[in-house]
Amino acid sequence: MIRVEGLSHRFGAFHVLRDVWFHVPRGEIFGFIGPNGAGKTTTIRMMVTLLEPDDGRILIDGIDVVERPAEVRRLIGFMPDSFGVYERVTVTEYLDFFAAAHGIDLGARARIVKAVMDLTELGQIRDKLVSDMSKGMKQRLAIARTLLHDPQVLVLDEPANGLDPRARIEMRQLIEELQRLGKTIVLSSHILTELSDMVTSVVILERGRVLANGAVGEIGRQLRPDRGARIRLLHAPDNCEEVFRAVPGVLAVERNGVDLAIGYTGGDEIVAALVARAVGAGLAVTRVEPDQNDLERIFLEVTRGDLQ
Amino acid sequence: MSEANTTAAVNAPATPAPATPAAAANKPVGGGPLAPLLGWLARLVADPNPILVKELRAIFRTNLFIRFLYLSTGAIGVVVLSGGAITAAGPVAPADVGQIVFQIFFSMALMVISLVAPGYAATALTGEKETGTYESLILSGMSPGRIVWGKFVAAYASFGLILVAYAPVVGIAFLFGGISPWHVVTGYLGLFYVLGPAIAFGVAVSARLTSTRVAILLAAPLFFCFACVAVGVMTGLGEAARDAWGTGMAGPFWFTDALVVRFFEWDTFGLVFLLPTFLFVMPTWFLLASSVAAVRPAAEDRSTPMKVWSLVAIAGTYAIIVVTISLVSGARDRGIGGVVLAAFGGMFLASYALLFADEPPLPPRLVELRRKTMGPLGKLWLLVGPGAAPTLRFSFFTVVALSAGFAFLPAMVRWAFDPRFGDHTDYDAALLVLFLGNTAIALCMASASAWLRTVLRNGLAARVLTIAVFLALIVVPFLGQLIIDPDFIDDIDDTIPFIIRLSPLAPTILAIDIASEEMPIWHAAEVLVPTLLYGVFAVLFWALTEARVVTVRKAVEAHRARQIARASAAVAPPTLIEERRRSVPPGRRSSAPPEESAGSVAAVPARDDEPEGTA
Repeated sequence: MIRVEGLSHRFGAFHVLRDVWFHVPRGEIFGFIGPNGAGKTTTIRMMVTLLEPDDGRILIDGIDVVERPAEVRRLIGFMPDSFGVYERVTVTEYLDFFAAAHGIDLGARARIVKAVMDLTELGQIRDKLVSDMSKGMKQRLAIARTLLHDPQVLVLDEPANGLDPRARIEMRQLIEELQRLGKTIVLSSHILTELSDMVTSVVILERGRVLANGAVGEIGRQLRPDRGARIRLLHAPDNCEEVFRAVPGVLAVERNGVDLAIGYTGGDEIVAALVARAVGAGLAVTRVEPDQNDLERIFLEVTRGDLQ
Repeated sequence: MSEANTTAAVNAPATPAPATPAAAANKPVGGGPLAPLLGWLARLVADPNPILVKELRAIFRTNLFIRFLYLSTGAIGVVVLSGGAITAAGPVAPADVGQIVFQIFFSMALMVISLVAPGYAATALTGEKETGTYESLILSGMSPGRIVWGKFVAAYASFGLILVAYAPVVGIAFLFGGISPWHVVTGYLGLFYVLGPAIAFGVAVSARLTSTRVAILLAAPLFFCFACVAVGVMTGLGEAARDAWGTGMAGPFWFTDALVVRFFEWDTFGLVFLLPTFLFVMPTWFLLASSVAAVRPAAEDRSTPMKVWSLVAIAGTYAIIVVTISLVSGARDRGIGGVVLAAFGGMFLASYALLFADEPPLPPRLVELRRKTMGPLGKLWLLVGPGAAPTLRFSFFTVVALSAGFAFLPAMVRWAFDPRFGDHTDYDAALLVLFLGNTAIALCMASASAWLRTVLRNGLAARVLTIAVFLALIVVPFLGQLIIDPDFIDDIDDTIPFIIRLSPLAPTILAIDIASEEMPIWHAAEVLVPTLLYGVFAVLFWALTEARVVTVRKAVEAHRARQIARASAAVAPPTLIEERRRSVPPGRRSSAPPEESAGSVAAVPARDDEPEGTA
């Protein structure tokens, strides 16, 4: 859906992006992460036609963002990091304004605004002034605005920024709902625990270069082919380590009382085989904890926190 | 949330509902030749510019606006009442008191417009930029023209409402007499005329800046200074009108009396209605076109709206020249008037020559892409369209056209009115001198600034440098001649020293000397010195600009070819993490414990070409 090819950009003598390549498949929730100053916002601004790259190109559904920006704008809904809202209008008036700005016919406008308000659960506060809304509701309103013209791609820059835990959960639910509606969603965020529950693939930028790119699990395996799992048994017989060592792919087994730390190469099927072998050997398993290839760990391992 | 319903609703195509006001508005209104216009008006009323609607809603919900409305109305009321009371206490006829109160009211309203309206409009786009809504607005797909027009009309309408709210105050003048309701109507017409450029100036400043505070600080004082000068000029013109037409009212709003008493006289209609209409509409249009150019992305054509404006401005200037010279009585006065007009036109030409000095070397990328699908007319337009070289050609054409208008139209009018006048030749020669000299100078300024823009990549720097060079060319020859001959000024009516002939002022001096018959007509040939000098430089800078454009085009095309080759190869370089893994010994990668292995990936040193710290 989105192809970024050889993107480079500089502000004066300052290289913000260097030969950035990545691909966002259709219908994915794609995480765009990196430390401050990595070039995320610059890339996003190029993606949504607000900035022209010095070099390289971005294709949205096969359309070059520089050559045909008007068409790309119809395909994209963008919520910037520091988005603003018009304070002295109501929710309905705000959405109606953007619907009109997008050129939606007056006859269809009210219906679309209502549908978007229903989707984002803003219908109950439709006549409330935007200035009286909470931060979470404003964030929701900003997303509602991006949906008005029914874009195929949503680019959300730090959508959960500044939200309380409840609003974050609601935001996550909304994003997942949008994915179910068939939208391709690009998320940029610093809150990696939030992202890790949602994203299917990521690109990690550091100092304007791509550090890692692909499915979360795949990057995790690239980083650490040898994974680990912790198994707790109800009772641990003396030779129980041997039961697990016999599983193909297991590298090492360490025992500490009823807890076993197992190192292995391979995917989740090894964990399943470990459990099956334990049950087959009559061992009572009370807990299985595979090491997580979560985003936070990946991020910490691949970045060095250097700023440009 | 009902998923099926919302999905269907959001993803449904935006088709009109069967029975809505919009559907009614979209229906053709009757038949006949006016049907399209009426249909357009119906759509405009049913679905106006969304920015206008949004802005008006927001403005009328702002406490500050309401407070300003009643406070300023109260303040004007107090000033008008005090002024009326003080004047009425003296030995002044009641009718004159009424006129003075009328002038005080409209002058106060004018001051409010001049001081507040540009500053108020200066927040129009900077406010969006500061609150972070500007990008959403741009990405909404609204055209820059629609955005700017919406902002302009909203500010104009809300400030217009303030002016209308002041109206009861002018009722005080009716207590004394001396004015009619038509005076008030024409006075308001004047205020609404001034409001156009005042708001447009604020919007133009706002389109170029990002800080609201700076925009207000720049727009309000600048326009106020301009308005003060304009009020001085208007008051002076009022005195001239009283002498010529015997109108009874003095002060800057004298025109109200002229319009009420002599509206159907063709000279009053032309000079006090049509001419001001043109003089207020054109700057407003110019400022709005400039705002649209500032809002428009760099990839789009920014200069064409200004070019369209300039064509209309030139046509209007022609009309003004013809009307002005026609109004002068007597062949000799027409001759002198024509030369004076053409001499002042030289200054206008010099300003116009720098109008397009901010054009980048190549046309915007979108225009380049559309070039392939353009018809013959489109391709013809591209010869004078966006890009430094085509725009310079456009400047050349229009400079010559404008200069010819200043020179030949006064002559044509003079010949038309007085074909048997004996001194036509003197004035014709003077006008020819101005045409040749001023055209060459303006062409030189246009081409020099265009070339400097392509070299310096900065339009402002190119303009400033060009102005500086030409100011030096004006001053230096005079200083040089003063050193050579301190008394040369006394003889300049008879002989223009050679060094002064190099100055951009030489054609003007020569034309005035010939028109005033202090110099024989054959001296007109002396204009060939500045004409050839500046003409040669104009051609030289033109050639340099064209060459520079060719160089830039070659470089850009080579760059694009490389880019396309890379993109079509579609081979992404390895990510840094892949590179780092490759440099880790294989044995260590597979056998090390998880913690060590992860650490080893992160600990691999960066590539040699990788930037360290700040690039």
